Amino acid sequence: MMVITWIILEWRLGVVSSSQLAEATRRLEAAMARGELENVQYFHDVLRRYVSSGNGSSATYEMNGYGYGLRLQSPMSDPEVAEARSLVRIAAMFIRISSNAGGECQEADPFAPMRVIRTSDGKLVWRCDHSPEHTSPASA
Amino acid sequence: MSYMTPIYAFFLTCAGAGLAALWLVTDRWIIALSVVLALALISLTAQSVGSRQVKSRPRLALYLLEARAILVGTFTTLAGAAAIILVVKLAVPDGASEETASILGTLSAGLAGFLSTLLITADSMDRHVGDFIRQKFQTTYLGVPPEAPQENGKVGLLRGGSAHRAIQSSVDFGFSDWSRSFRHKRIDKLVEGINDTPSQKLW
Repeated sequence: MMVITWIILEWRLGVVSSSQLAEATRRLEAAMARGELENVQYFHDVLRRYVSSGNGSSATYEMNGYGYGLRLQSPMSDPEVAEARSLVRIAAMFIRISSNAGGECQEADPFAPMRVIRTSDGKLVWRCDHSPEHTSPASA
Repeated sequence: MSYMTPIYAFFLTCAGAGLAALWLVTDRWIIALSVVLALALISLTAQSVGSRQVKSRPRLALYLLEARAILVGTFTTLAGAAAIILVVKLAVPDGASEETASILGTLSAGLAGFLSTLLITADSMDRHVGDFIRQKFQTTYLGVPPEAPQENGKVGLLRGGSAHRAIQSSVDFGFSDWSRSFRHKRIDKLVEGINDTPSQKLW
């Protein structure tokens, strides 16, 4: 039920399209069925393979300081970027659920838990428990 | 509750009863006190040496810092022994009035109850030792940018590298806390990360 709730939430926020969501979810569920979702490293590996397999495009994937993120280098066509990004978001969602945490801020040591905050102008941002706190750029 | 909790409680209770017996039955309280002090001293020495090895020999440091469990266990045993001694010493003497017997009975039960709350479970012991070790490693192994100046007594790790994340993260690699199995895996990951990619260790 929790997984379904998260998927619906991500979809409602307009993060991914329904077809991208279906494909990303299918891949992750297949990985879960194979028992490969044991740790975060798996997502780094699967994403690296996934992105680099697309039409010779290049991409780098890394932790971006605000939990899980994707940094893409040109040339990448828009559908590939969107699809790769959707995979990252779904992967991050599964990690959050499996670790019972909302992601981590890596801007300072030790890493601190993060939560989603809605700002006064309606934007969603990630904010951490560091002192002083770090805030991600508005995402929606 | 960990499966270790009943075993652990049994062991500590027996140790506490042993200490109390040394004191009450044989009147060799000096031996009881010496045992407690010796164990505390061993633990404190190991912790002290371990703290100094965190930077250079993390695996050895981890084992030595885990000796903190001996110190906590020793004081828990002492609390158990004190409870037994108090209950025996507060036994109602022959010929005591009903009022005195009632007061002594209540006092004895209250003290024994209070001391029993000091007993620590295997889980809370593991958590306590884990937090102690986490603090030592997280303040020594820092994630820094490539050009960051060196700090005395600290290790500068490439920010975001596997060695850095093994120490500072509660999500990556599935290491959600510093319980016994995770802290050993964290240090393995730290050492492995630095050995496989020496460039991760900046200074």
